[in-house]
Amino acid sequence: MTTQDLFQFIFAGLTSGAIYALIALGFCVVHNTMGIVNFTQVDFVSLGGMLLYSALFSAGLAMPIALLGAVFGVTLVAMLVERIGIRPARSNDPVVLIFLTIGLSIVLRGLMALVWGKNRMAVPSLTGDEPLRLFGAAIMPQTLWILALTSLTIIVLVWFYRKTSLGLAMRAVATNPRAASVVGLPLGRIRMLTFGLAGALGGLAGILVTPITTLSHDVGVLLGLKGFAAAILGGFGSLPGAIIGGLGLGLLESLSAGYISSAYKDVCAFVVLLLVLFVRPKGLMGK
Amino acid sequence: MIRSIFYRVFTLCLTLFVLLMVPGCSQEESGPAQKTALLVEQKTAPVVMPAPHPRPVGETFKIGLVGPYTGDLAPYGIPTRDGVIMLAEALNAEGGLLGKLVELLVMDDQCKPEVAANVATSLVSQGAHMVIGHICSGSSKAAMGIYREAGIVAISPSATNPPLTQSGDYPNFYRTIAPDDLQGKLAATFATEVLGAKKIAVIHDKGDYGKGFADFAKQFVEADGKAQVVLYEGVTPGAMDYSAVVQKIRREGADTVVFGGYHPEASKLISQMKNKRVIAAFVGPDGVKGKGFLEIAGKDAEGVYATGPMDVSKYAMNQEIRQAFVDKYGKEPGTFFDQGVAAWQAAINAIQMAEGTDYVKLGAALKNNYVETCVGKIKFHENGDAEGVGFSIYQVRDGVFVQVQ
Repeated sequence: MTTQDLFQFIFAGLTSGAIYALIALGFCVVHNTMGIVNFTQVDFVSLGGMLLYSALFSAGLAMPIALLGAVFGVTLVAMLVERIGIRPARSNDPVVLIFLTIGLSIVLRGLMALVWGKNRMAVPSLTGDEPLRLFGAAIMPQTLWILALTSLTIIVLVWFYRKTSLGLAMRAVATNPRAASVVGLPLGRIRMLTFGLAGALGGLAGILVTPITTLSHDVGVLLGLKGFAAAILGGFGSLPGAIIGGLGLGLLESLSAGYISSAYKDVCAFVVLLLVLFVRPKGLMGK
Repeated sequence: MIRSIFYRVFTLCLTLFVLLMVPGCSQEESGPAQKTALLVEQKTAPVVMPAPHPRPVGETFKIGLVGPYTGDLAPYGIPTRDGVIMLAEALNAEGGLLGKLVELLVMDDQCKPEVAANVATSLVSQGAHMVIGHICSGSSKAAMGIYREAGIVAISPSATNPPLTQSGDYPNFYRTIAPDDLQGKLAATFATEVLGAKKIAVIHDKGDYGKGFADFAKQFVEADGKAQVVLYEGVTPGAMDYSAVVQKIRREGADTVVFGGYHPEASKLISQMKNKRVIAAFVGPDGVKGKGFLEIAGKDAEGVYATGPMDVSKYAMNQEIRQAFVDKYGKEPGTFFDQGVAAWQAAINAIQMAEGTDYVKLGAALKNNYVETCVGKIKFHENGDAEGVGFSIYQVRDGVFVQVQ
């Protein structure tokens, strides 16, 4: 076992970990304001990749514009999902809302299959495919983009929650919805924007990951499952927990694939997840 | 209170998530390569072929035609169905077979073993004399026992799982495609003999089809002794990236990678190998040889080897029937069309030779007579495999698969 191998595995782990973290953050954001698990999150991931594909090849846009366009597109769709899919239920019962998101997730996936077909597609990387050499390990530029953009997103998210009035309003709604509406915060609009934020996070994850995984209408499902597991590992609802959970899960997978067998990488990752939950049922950072 | 409700809900949705989402993305059936396609609406009720001009209603030869006509695997069944319907219409227009008309009982098994068993029972009760199908290995296995009990011969165009013939459990089963172990053997001998491989990495997708192929290839490489299997590992289909396994291929210094699985994983693996500058020949099964692979892998596909059914387009009969298909349906026939038509031709020929559908006579007719089909001149071995069909090696050159040698 050389250090070159180790670096390679660590980088691979951080890359998948960053993606899991983004998806986990999307789960947490919605959970914090509405107290539900939003299963449409997995389709936001696929949709991000799909919109990027269309923006690049159907509309012929340049990569940076296509990227931003795709993120905004998913944000918009996510807000629509809340406005026309969730809000008309007029329910606060988590069970009802969760079932709704499961149904909506199936609808979204079906729509994507209709619009883009069920075939796999290839999406180009943000910049080039020339690997960089770092300590003997070959690192793809896409990996660096994933790490950089994920870090940036996390910083912006923290700033957003701490400093902007919208972020503060979201936290207020999360803490005490009734008091928040008493002081005049528009609950509905804030929930819609929360969905938008979750959509942006999921969409960004999809955009960053599909050049590596290739793209299909249900690509987000397996990634979403991992993101969901990452969120649980970190403690569902905790933002730092989502990041730690995501990176931890990614590293676990990559190292167990590298040093044990890739046939068992999911097994190793989920066994550790179970062990953590036995010891700390609320997750690593759960309150 | 709210906490406890929350955790109950939480457990509930975790269960739901696993139930709803996970099976949806791992619907891997054994047998032919899986590709996705649009759904085609088709009732499971039998379709009776109308006689082209009024004739006295008498006894007919009832031939079951079974395969997936809806769902993900539909593209593997529809070409055979449409081809056989076309030929049956033509046969009936010429006056039928031995003075009787042929009646097709078209049934959809969706490639699901449980549906296949129902379909088989229903065909038996409708009095089918012979069956063309099933398409997938899993559903064939489920149905063959039922046909065997009823004394019905079945010819499959595409069920490649070796035990179907080699186990001896299904003496009523025949197929017009070569079994998977031949494919694995071909890949292994090609790697060692032609490519001169010394260190072979065998990678598979853990599915029945992919792992089956990889296991056979590994077995033949080890039995042969000319090369060494330096890595044998399964990857998860749909996983985010395969860089860990690519790194292992590099570490073991493999000069050839034999991959068992379908084209999405093959594309991912090959492009990550190229990205990481791992230089090794890549040999895949017929699940890789297709347009899907060329589209996804793009320029990374160049130079990749894959096994696939022998090129049969050189036969005049094949060209003629394909042309008739294009004229009738306005589209190119798809996967397993040649094998499906060959199964039909073999069946009709056998009924003629046996002068009826007696189980013993039909079996003897299939095994003793050569028949000119879409896939060449074939007859069947004692175990039900066809003599004269096989696989070839193809390589991607300038963006298309070209037969090697």
